[in-house]
Amino acid sequence: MSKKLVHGLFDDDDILMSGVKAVRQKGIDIDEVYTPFPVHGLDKAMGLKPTRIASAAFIFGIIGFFFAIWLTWFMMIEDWPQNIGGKPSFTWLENMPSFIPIMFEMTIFFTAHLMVTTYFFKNKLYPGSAGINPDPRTTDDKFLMEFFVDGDTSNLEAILKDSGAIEVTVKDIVEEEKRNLWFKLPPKSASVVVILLGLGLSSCSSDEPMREPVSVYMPDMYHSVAYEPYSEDPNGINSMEARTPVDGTIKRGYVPYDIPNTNEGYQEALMNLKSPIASNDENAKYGEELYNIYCISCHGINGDGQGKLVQNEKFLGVPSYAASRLPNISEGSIFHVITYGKNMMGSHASQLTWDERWKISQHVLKLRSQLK
Amino acid sequence: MHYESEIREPLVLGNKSYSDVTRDVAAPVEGKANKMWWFAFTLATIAFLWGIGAMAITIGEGIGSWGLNKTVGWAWDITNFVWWVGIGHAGTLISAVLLLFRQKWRMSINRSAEAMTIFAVVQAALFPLLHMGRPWLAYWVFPFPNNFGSLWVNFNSPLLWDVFAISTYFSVSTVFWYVGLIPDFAMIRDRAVKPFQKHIYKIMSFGWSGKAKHWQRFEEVSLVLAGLATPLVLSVHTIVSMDFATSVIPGWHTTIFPPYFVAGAIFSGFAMVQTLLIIMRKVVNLESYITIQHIEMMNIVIMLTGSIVGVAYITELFMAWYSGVEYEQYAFLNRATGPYWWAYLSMMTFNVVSPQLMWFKKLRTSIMFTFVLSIIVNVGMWFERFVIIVTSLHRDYLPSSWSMFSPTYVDIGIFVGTIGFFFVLFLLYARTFPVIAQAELKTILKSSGESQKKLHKHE
Amino acid sequence: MSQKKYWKGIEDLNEESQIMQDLRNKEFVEEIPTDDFLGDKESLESGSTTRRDFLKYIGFSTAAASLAACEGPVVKSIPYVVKPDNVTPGSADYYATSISDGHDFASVLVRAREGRPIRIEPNTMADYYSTTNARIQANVLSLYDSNRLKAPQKEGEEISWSSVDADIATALATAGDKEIVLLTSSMFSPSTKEIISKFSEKYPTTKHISYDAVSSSGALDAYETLYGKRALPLYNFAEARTIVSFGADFIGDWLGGGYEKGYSIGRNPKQKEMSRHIQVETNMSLAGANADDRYSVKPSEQASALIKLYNIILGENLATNKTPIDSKLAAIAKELKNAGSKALVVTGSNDKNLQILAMKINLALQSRAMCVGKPVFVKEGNDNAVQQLVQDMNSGKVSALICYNVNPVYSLANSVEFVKGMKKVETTVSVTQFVDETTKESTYNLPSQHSLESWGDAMAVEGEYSLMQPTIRPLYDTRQFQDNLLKWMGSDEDFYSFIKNNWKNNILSKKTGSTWNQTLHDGVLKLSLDPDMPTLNEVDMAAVAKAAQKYFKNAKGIELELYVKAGMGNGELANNPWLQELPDPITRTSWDNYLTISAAHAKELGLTNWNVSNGALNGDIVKLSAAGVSMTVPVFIQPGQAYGTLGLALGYGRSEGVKDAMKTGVNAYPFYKSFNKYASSVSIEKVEGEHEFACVQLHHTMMDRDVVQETTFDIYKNKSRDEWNPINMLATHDGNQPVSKIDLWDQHDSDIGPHFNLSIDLNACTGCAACVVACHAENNVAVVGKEEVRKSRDMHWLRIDRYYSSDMTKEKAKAEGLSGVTGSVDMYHQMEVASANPEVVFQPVMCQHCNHAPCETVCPVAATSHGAQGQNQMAYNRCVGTRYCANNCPYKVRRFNWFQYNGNEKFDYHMNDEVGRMVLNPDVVIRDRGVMEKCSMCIQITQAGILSAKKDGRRLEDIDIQTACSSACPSEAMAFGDINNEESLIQEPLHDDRKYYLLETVGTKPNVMYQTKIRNKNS
Repeated sequence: MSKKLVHGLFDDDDILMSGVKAVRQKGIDIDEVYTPFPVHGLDKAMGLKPTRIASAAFIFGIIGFFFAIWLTWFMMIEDWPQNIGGKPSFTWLENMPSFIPIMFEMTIFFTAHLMVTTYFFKNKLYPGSAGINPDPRTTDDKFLMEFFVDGDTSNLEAILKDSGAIEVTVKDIVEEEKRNLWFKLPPKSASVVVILLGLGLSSCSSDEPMREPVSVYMPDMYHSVAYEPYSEDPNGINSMEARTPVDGTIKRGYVPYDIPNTNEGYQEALMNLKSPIASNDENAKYGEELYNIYCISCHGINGDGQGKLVQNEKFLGVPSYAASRLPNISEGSIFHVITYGKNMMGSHASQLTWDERWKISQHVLKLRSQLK
Repeated sequence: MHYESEIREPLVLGNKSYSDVTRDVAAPVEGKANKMWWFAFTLATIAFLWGIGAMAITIGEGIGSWGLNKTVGWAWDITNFVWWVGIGHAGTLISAVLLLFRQKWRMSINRSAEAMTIFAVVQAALFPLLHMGRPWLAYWVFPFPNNFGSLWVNFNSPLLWDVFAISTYFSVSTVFWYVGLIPDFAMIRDRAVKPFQKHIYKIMSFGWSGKAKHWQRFEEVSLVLAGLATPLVLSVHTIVSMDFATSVIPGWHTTIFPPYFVAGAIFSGFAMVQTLLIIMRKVVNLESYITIQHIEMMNIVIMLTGSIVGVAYITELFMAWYSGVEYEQYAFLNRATGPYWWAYLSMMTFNVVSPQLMWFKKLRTSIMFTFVLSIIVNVGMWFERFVIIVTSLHRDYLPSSWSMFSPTYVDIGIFVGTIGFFFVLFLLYARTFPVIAQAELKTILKSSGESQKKLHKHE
Repeated sequence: MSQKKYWKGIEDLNEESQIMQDLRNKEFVEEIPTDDFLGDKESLESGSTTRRDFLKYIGFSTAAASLAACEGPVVKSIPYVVKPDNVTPGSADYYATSISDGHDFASVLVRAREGRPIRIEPNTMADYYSTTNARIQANVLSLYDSNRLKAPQKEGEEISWSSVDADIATALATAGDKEIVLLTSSMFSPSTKEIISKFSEKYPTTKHISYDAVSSSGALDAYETLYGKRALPLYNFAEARTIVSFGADFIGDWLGGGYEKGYSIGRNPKQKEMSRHIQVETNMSLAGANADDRYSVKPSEQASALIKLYNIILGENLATNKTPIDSKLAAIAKELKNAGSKALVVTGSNDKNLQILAMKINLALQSRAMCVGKPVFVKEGNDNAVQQLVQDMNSGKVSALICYNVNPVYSLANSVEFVKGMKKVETTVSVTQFVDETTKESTYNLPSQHSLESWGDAMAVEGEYSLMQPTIRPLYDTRQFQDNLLKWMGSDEDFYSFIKNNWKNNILSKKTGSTWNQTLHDGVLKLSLDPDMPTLNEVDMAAVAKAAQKYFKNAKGIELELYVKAGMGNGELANNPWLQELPDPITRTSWDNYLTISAAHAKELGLTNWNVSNGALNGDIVKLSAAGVSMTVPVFIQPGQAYGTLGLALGYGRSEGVKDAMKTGVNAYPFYKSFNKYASSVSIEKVEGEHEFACVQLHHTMMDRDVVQETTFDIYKNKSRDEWNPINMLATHDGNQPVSKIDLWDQHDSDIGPHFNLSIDLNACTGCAACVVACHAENNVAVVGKEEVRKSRDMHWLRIDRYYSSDMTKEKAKAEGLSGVTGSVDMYHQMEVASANPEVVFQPVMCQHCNHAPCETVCPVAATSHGAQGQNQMAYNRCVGTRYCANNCPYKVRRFNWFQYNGNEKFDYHMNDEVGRMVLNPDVVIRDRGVMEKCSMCIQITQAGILSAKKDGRRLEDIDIQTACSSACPSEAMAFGDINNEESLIQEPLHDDRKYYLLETVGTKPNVMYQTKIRNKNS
């Protein structure tokens, strides 16, 4: 025997209520009642359990409350505590009065939205879901009781008629209705969006190095308006921002070296140039440190001309400082050579300040005295 | 069944059956718009487009296109923001607070009041966005981990509280409104004959079918949401007021602000509801549902909140004098007698004096009077915010920095534009949404409807 | 990623297309003509904009917004080929040099980056002229003036230097008996003098005439009369205990300026001794604003009063007239006599006779503050010679006129005759940095170099030599004046080697052990000579007094005094936007000059100033006529202006060679007849129209608030601190507590590392505004232009508030029984009005760096927070621009970028200019629109200082971290230092009784403190 669907249609909520009571008295379970508006007491009359959605809301609220605490604590205290107007960012509790509005709003936010989400979920309401009220009039002014009956329906029909139903219809259930299938595949458009999104995301990562300049949205102070070191400056020679100071000028703290880079100059430095800085351990030690940074790769740690680059034959012909090899050097000539360079050796004046060069000279002399 | 005493005026006039209610509510949606509607809509659209032009200038050129200066950093922008937020209070208040207090008269007006709320909050939200120097970075006010490391928002800032309050308020109000709308959309869906219309309302109604269990949950959710929305609505304007109250500027630094702002918000919100409903009941023929009694009830609320606001104004003056702080004293003296005395005078007359006329029953039941007064109240409330913001800023601590403010056409354009935008939204709403919560209204039809009352009287 | 390029549109094909260029620079291709359809009703009705157009604009703006996402520019890095050993890219170098632009002189230290000067600081190694004023500070921007003359020109056509040299050498050789005139600004350069004398040997008809646009010739003549030499006596205000000034604005640019430091040393009340300053003047000048007593009298009365004072002090009886301050003069004379050798009388007149009178008084008092034995040479201008030149030119006696660094066509009162004369001169040459009025009239215009591009030397004061070295290679095809002379003399030597030889031969030998290198390094060579007292010539004082009177004999009616503003100087730097935007310290008005008038006088004449709805100041316009010249000028009501007098600033109204925005004000030089800054029988007449001022301060009184604390010297000396600088107390449960002790929260720790404080001594601050320009230069502060200033949108991070006293005070209101609401309203309204002759206070206000900063707590995105060293910091890139911080700032020091101020044609100042941008400090980001900015306490300097101290392994010292304002302050009013360092100079002001915090009761706990102003009033 097939299942049958019985609908009783009422046109007044009071009559509906008495009808529900009447049916229930007869021990028949009502499967559903469709009404155009909430009829007070209907749920009790139908024997529906009270909803627990309010309890759920309470839990959601607690989640929101603690989320706000975590949020404020993490952002203001834990991750980056800043001194903001002298407010105490030492502990969450000290800073807490500032967070009360946030905690309140988050609590409400979580409660309301999670509750409504739950409500939609439980009621299976979502955009595009088809209405399942059997009769369109039930959203206007009619009330409808619905029964799924196995077997005889005449008894039920009679009760409904007695209790004031204006229409009673019975039909066979031909196929299982899809009422309970609340989840439908998303429409095509949604899948297109998902695919595009995926494509968009995948385009973000690329192993190839970026060759084209990146796009800049609203370039807020990304690029310096002032000319930065080594940047382009249309006013400079060859558009160079980096200018060379005028010859002969002397900046503060700079000691110019007047002996020219000639053979005569070398001779003069060798003979006459004396170190103006004190010859002491401290200076020699500093000189050694600098030597070990700037000179060691060619001249070697002992000054024997056997630095790593020489050993690897990248550079050749680096002499040892030993008196036997270089009989004629003085601190003045060492300074001169560091300043201007000699033969393969380049000028080191731009790397080393004036007194640093003197300190290295001191160390070189020390190495020389140790070499045989 | 509980029937209301016949001494009480019926809330629904005319001999309305459930079906009549359905037809009346669905009529504007199903019918064609009349000339009045088109006229209003054109006007609103023009204003809106002007506003868009002004916004384009603001974003394209900079905030410099406004009349602000180094001393007065906020003027029309935040005035309008607070004004719109204030207006956006009545809807939720009517639905939530009156629902909690079981005030049945709310039912004819709550839908539209809520719609107004949401549309007003949309306008309000535009201003914090537009007033930013770099609005394209507005998302930085959300707790958003950035690319450069742990740069978070500042939870000490009242403006950030505002962000949370306004966004919570907006989203919760919208949800609250929509939950109530679903059964009514279902009603229209079930009546719709045109396939396109049917399809649209099918989507909008989320497949509502009016099952008993759903109605049970519906009522519970409505109640809980109302319970949440009530403190929320109070918190929103409280927090907005904290933008000022937590500052150090004389005239802003005032502990009275939270209740005073909330009262002011209800005051202006109800006034705006009046303005809209008086037009709407006429335009979409809802005189039977939005009755003189509704108008009178709201007028009483306006009168009450207006008086609260008045007391607050006077308290402010008293506190300034009593504080003994010369900056405070000067700030309030300057409000009343300084260069912006006219704004202060307008505020006092419009907000404090005019609502007192509502003591006369004849006036508060006069539709024309109510309409005029509701506009006056909103103008007055705009001036209140202007007075608080501009007159406090323009002369604060150091006289060397004292300045004045004068709006530019861009300032005005944006304000007019938001009014236009608001009405565009509201007019579209009036044509496409069930403007009365018919499902809820049907529940009181028997107890408070005119015909049913008569019926029971004869019993 | 794909290598394909997708065209955004057809325009993209053409890289140079205007649209693509614009798109790169701006967010919108063209201005959206929204005005067309959004304007007023009329244009709305008459506008041609259709609905379609409107929709197009809407659509366009959307498109423009998406186009705004353009490809980022390719940032090229171009390193040195051979890095010089004296440059480290990214770190600043300092060069000691001097600035001498003809009007101002200073020994300076120039900060250069990669061979490019970006800022000027004072060279503290010099004893004299070691301070910088606003113009010196701003001079670096004039180096990058895009309107400079870039190549030599003949009759407007560019020609090469070689043909210039050939032409001029021929012209000079063929001069015959006719004169060759070198008309230059004051040039006290020994080497230049040497060249000129050699030049004269070669061309014997050469005549060198010095010409100062704003003349000090009277004082030079006076010294010449008394001592037979053209020089100025050295005034040392630090030595003076009683200073009486007759119209001498010695804080301005009186006799070349540079006196602020000495003056403020003398006014330091710490040793319980402080100078007393009485000013008798016409206009409200900076000196007058700082005076303890100020009398405003007419210029003619000033002269009479000075003679009267002379009579009283010397017991003589020279003929004089009555003055309104006759009754005061006896008391003033008594004070001077009491001060004895510590007295000083100065006069600002350009009349030789009045200068003689003042010098004679000082000599009679044996004043140590006026040292005649150490002559000063900063001014050389000779008025008579200039006037003679005009005659000579017109009578055809001059064959060649070589002008250098002067602009007589603009600045001579009789420039019409001068131009006429030029036409009769065969060869006219203008050697100048800038295109100006004179270059327009000259045949040859030869670009000269800026001080920062030049070699040079100077002897400003006997015994102190300064050197000038270039800090940048010449930007254009320019040549120094001295090189020109050498070239035209036929010498092969360039000026560098000439100067070096000259020094080796003649100057370095004067001091043993001195070397060229060391002097160039230091910038100065001090000979430490003893003053050499010259012999005094006899002068007939009766004749002098008579002549001085004659000067004013016909004085009647309204009198006019011309003056020079702290910003604009003589007008040479008119194209400098920093100086144009610099508010005048007194009127607080920028971008303008105007006729100052007293309130009472203006009322009589029906002239008014009023504020329009956005607060901006407008004023009436008058037609000003004097001595046959008339022009329309706006009037500005100025408290302190003597009744019946007017003031007008020189240096405005430039028309040639300046950008349109910089063509401000009116040219007052036509009134400067015979270099006399006073004019009488002036008439003014109201004309139609109104003038728009750009005033940064719209409200001028303190409203009886505790903003600037002030007391008298007597009270300060004798009474306890509680009487004159009471500690702010608040009532608590534990009794009254000082505000500083009350706190809601635990304090953040500030003991680790440095904690910076700034102290501003209001007693030392003269309001000279050097700090304002220094701050602009250091921090790349934008210039916004007159229209924006009018809208109260000036960007000054550091402003100098100026308050006038008012006749109404709370005490007075109480005495007068003004009470209740109406009484209070009345009282406050009266308080807004400044006194007729007000006392003036200056208060520099910048970010106070509050430890409890109201701005920080309100920022939603935490863009502003507190640094560990006490600085309130702005993260510009984080700022979204809500302006909440600015609103909540009790000091209103935050500045908002209302528009994009760089690279925007609407703001056509140095930041919209490839050359002008060279001045920008690369250490400070230039803020885009929509971003809040403010004083950072020069965090780039403090951080660099901390790092360099750390690198050197030593403790941070004051010298490492001097902020722009504190280093620029000529009067040492600003002290900046680390309060955690016991040896820092900040400790003294920090523990001084005069210390107070601005608006302390608000509870902001600032890191900037002020020192109470002390006025030395006669009790």
